[in-house]
Amino acid sequence: MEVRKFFFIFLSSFILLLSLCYAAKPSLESKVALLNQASSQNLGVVELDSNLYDEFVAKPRNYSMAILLTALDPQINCIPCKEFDPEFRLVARSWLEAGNEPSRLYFGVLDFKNGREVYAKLGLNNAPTLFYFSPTTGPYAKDVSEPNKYEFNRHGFSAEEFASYLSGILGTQVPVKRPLNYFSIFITTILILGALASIKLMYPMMESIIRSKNTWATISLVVILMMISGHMWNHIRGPPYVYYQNSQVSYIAHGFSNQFGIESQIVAVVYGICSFSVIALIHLVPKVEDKNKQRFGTYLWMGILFTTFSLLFALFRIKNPGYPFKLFI
Amino acid sequence: MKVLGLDAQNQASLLKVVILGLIAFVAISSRLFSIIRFESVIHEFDPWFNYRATRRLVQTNFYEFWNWFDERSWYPLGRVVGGTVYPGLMVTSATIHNILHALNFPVDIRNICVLLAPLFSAFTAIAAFLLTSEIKDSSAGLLAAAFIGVAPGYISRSVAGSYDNEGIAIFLLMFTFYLWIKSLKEGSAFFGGLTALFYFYMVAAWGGYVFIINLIPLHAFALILMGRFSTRLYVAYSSFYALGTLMSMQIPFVGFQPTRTSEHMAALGIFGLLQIIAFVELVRSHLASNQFQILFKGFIFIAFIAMFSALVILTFSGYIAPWTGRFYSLWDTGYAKKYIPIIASVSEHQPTAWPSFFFDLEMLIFLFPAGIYLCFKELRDEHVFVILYGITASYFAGVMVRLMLTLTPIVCVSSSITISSLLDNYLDFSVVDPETTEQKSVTDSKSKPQDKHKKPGDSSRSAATSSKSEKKKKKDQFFGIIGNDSRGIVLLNFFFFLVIFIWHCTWVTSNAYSSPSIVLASRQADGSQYIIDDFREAYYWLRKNTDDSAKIMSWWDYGYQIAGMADRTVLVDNNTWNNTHIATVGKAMSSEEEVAYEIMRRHDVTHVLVIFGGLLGYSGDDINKFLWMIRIAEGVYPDDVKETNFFTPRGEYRVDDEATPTMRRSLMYKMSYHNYNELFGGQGQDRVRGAKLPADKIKLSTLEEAYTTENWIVRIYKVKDLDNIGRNLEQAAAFEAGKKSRRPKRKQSQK
Repeated sequence: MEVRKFFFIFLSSFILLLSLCYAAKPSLESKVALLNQASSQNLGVVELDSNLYDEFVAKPRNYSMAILLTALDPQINCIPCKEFDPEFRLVARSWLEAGNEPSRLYFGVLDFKNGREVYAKLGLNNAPTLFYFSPTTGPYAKDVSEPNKYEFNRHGFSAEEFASYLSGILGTQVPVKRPLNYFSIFITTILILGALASIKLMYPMMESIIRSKNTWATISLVVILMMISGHMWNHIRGPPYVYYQNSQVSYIAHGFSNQFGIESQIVAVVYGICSFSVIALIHLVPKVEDKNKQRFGTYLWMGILFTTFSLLFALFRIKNPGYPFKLFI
Repeated sequence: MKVLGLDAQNQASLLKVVILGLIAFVAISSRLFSIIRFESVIHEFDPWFNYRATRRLVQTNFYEFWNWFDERSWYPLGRVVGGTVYPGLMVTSATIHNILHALNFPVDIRNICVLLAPLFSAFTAIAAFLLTSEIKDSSAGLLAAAFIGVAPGYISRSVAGSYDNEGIAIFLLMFTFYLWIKSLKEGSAFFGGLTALFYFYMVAAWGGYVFIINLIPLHAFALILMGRFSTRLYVAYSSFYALGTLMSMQIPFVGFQPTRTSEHMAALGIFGLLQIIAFVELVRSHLASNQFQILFKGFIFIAFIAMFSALVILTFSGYIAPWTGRFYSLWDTGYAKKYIPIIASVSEHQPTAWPSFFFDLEMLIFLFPAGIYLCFKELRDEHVFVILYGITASYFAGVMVRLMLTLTPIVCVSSSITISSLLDNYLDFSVVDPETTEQKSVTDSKSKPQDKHKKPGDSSRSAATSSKSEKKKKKDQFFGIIGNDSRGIVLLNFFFFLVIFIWHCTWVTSNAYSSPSIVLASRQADGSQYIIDDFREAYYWLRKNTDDSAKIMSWWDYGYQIAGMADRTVLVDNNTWNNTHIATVGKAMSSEEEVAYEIMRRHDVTHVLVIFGGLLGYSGDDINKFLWMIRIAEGVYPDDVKETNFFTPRGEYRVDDEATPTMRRSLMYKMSYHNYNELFGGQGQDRVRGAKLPADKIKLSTLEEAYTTENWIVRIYKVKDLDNIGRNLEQAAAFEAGKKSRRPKRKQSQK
């Protein structure tokens, strides 16, 4: 009796397992049909969850699929995800509208809230992540076991870059058709016309500004001060403006070839003060007629120059601890 | 008052000559630190190629050099040196060499090469003197000469031994600009022709000539926009452009670029615009009527638009090459990183953080904007030039550390204007104290300082003539410095600042810019100097112990040095003209042994050379450069090399136990750390990356260690031949290992 019961359980569980296996492996045709339906309904994008992900990724595949693992939940606050999402959908839509053979490429999106299991299984702890799965059977099959990962750092977040990456892998052109934003074109035209009109109207006033030496001097000096205080470094490297650590704010970065955003501004201001006090000594002070007033001016500007220059030395010694010179402080 | 029988003017000239001589002496001698500390050697990387080429030029003749095909670099491609080199530097030193030999001074060519840059820095000081004298006066000129003589921003590229194009190019840059200002001021075709001649020399010497051929047109264009077109400008620019372009096209490396590339189109466009304007001016002067003025202005404007659109159309249709990558990356700063990693990988192409500016220019950096402001106060034609140069150069210096070099001259000129204006005011003892000389008539004391100060005159003179605003007159009046204590405090402070400036320059030169980088120095525990000479040791070993036909594979940084010092054939070098070839080497370094072996066999590589700093803590080694090799290789072979495989899942670049399998299987990793654990008798300690190595032994089957230098900085491996009985090398190595260790168990497992 016992044995028979045991056997029964064994048998039934075996059948169950078998059927599960069978159910987990739907035929290729049904998968493609499902994908076709889902993508054509949803502007070229297939929304996935953990089960669907496993199903579509499972071999064999006679289709390519680009799957974006993202996290659009406002609680997670993933800014690059939000940035890339519309671009991804744009490529998917352009692909759908271009009328290519659909099974060459599908676009899937798996959000973190629907696919925690997938994230856990893949050991992913950052989003967005984009995988490209090449077909394993069919005319375009590639003998690659691992999916191809899209490098956001290298390729970037724009639709054109993503499309050119896909074109490179697929060997056919993946188009990007940005829909014309009529509203913004309208607004831009209005703004340009408005600007032209106001220039025309205010030209007599503008002319004196454009022809004024001081305008150009100001622009030039601001540009020079920005450049010599490392603005281009900030522009290229994009450092944080200030750095928070353990509720302490640090304004000066460590290291000789490193800086924070605010640091270069501090330095620009320091240079500006030094420059201005030298100019004051050259140009303002000699124009004072009264002897004592002039004396006061000289001492004042010299003092400002000396103090600011000392500050500059002090700043530089923070950056370069081995520097041997200092003034005052 | 006569001294030495000379009147005041001659005394001043004599003093100027003596001061300039002393400045030249200081400029040369402060660049000799590296010779005194080490020896008279050629520095770094590129100078080794220049030196090798110069030697060849001296040994053969100019035509041989012109047709030189160098089959010992870029194996198996070779390099047409004559057509891909700026020959100015080599020709200069070969000429000096020949003259000295003709005069029976048997000076070795190496010493001429080593001392060429300091010599030209003295010339640069003189050129700066001439330029600044044209802009302000000769006292500002002397200050500018003194500043440029010692400014670290320029010393960094011109110490003794740094035998590179920039060494002579900065002199040529300054001198060309001086001649340009001179020809513009005088409207002289003679000086215009001289400008063109020195521009030609500059084109022959350095790719930075593009700066000249864009800045001078920019200056001309700005003058036109300001309504300052004059026949002087027309004569100067036309003679400069026509002659300069024709001459520059004689350099094979430049060839037809002046007519075919966007870099040169601005100059051509301004040339055309000037012709049109000159024509219109001519017609107008004969018509003697202002009625056509609007018509003419419209004509000029339409011509300008037409030329511009023609340029755009020609560029898009492919007749004119767009901006080349190196120059384009100056505008679109993200461009190089994405598309030309080989440009982005060079450390001197990185953007400049603020400390570098202060480090290279100290107080000049804030005197520079003040000088620009003073130029705006006067704003004659030459001041417009200084302003434009200042703005463009400061932008370029911000984008690329290397271009600090072009900023330094203008900073020196501009800040010398500042200091000189300051001294003019504070050293002018003719100013009279109004309180003590009250009996003097008011008009007298008012007119006197006005006469003395013509420079801020422009505004004050106009204010004085237009007597309608008494208040403005009062405001712009110039009284000079009255109190002697005010003079004293300012002069004393600035004297002190200048002294600190000199200290700073000397300190920076001595500490940062005087290392030859092929010889390193460190201090021992007792404070004595310890010379690390591994590079030359390794190159000498290669020269003496390998066959003359040996092909050495290394990362491109060391190509010129191997060719120069070891005299062996290399696969890639610092010329970086063929990205694919470099990527192939990168692929060999970053792939597994079997893949790399195939690449090496295909390129007939006999030896591989890697730089390893782990033992000594030398951070400029190949493991630290490895990421760039991977990146460059991935750009060409995206299927075979993947950067992500070298990063741990947490995105770290590790060499210790947590290093990724790809990393640990890569040829570079194996070559760097081969036998390193054995040195420590356990786990090796990498002092650069502060990591403990994995304990398991690194096995190399396709390479064998040939030589490792004293401090392990250079490691040379020999590529094994194919196995005699056709096994693959891994099996053969495993078999050898089994036989040597005589472990029966191992033998069984071999079966």
